[in-house]
Amino acid sequence: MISLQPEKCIGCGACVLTCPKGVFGLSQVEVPLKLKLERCVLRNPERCDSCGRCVGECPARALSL
Amino acid sequence: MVRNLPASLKELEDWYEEFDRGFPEWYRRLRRRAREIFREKEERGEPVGRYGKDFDLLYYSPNLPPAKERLETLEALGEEQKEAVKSIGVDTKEKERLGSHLQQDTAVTYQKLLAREGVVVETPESAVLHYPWLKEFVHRLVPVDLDKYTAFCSGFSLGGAFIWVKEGVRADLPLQVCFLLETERLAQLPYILVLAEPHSKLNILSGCVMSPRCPSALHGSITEIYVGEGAEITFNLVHNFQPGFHVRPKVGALVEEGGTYIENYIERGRPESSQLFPTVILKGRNSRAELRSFFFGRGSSDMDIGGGIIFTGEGSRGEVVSRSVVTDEAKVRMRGVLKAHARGVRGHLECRSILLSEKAEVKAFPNLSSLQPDATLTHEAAVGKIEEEQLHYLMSRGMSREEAASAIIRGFLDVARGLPDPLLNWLRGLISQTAGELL
Repeated sequence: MISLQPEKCIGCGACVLTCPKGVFGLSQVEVPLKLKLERCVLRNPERCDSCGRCVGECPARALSL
Repeated sequence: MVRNLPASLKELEDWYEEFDRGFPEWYRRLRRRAREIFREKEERGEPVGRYGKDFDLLYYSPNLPPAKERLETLEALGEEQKEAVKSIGVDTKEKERLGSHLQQDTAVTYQKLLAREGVVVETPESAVLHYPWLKEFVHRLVPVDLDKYTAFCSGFSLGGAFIWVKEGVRADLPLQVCFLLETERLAQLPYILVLAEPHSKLNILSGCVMSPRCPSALHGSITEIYVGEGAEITFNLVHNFQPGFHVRPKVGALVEEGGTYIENYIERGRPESSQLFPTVILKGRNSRAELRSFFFGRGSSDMDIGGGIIFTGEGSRGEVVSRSVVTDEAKVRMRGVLKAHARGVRGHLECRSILLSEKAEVKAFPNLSSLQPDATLTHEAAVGKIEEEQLHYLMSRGMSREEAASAIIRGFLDVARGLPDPLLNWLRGLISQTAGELL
């Protein structure tokens, strides 16, 4: 089962594009300036089959199995 | 195996606990965690980083010197200091500059911003006190646990710069940010955070140099850059370090839709070791990045230089170009990584080097990875001596062999982009002068 450390996520979206099962999504972070900050969320964690692809692709090291 | 750590590490940790006392809880916790990670990595005997020459970080003290007095003007620097900062492109008269920010050892001693609405420059220490939302930005793009050095720099940094360009503000003149190292065995570890709101534009000249009286030290830094929609940031790192200096500037950038990030790195000195691998995430649609390093490997320098781009934005474009001229007994490794996740991506990687000595060594490590059939990634790498054919052509036009070689090297290294004309002309002069010294 995949585990996410949200405080390390940079919202790059690599996990969303890598996961063949659609486990991940992105949600916007509210900040008082006009930069679009997003963070990864586990939208469908039950679909995860622990293949580990996302772990290797996450540049922020925010994902682990 | 667990290594015994020097008692001085505990003293250092206690010093920073006290120093951090006035900061918000999130910042204190982040830095404390970084120090814990550093301690764990140090106990396990891990090297400074995955790449680059290994050395003992604790030989250097990040909090060594006393506070310096603030300057009224950059012209108030001593003659030797002025010569040093001029060697990296800093204009002490501040002509054709948006503003200046000078850090001597660990203290910011001068800061001046020419009248310009919408550009904020301050120290990171004051910025985290002013803006609680910075917790969403600080120490994210360069992960604290990336390696032992990033943990060290995140946990023990002092000074640096917070630069915030507001929406639609487009500055043509460069902002000069200078880090001057003056004290032996200091670890100068500034933290730099740049926020560029949509459709803004800023050119940063980040110059790092040592005083000629300082025989050895460590210059490291962590720089995180957020480029908003349609914004343009050019970040120029100009270094001049001599033997006895280790250099570790770490840069991470995130670029939104239609944004552009350009980085130029030049080392004109001959540091004992330098390791640099800026990593850019092209997240937005049609975002763009160019990472350019052009440098001389001289003396017994050990240089591990390159950069990486991760493409997660559809239609994003990026280029990593590393060019070096290597002589004496220098060891140079040039790395490049391109990783394509999104459709319509185009990336190019180039590692080229001219080798002038049989005792020198150059290795190139291009690395392309694509998870997207629609992406196009290419690379070229070349290591060799100056081609005789080119030399003979120029010599047939009346040049001496040395003049011809110097002209070829100048042309080979003339790859900087995004610089305003005065800075570009200065840089060309610098390359020309250093090329002349090699031959």
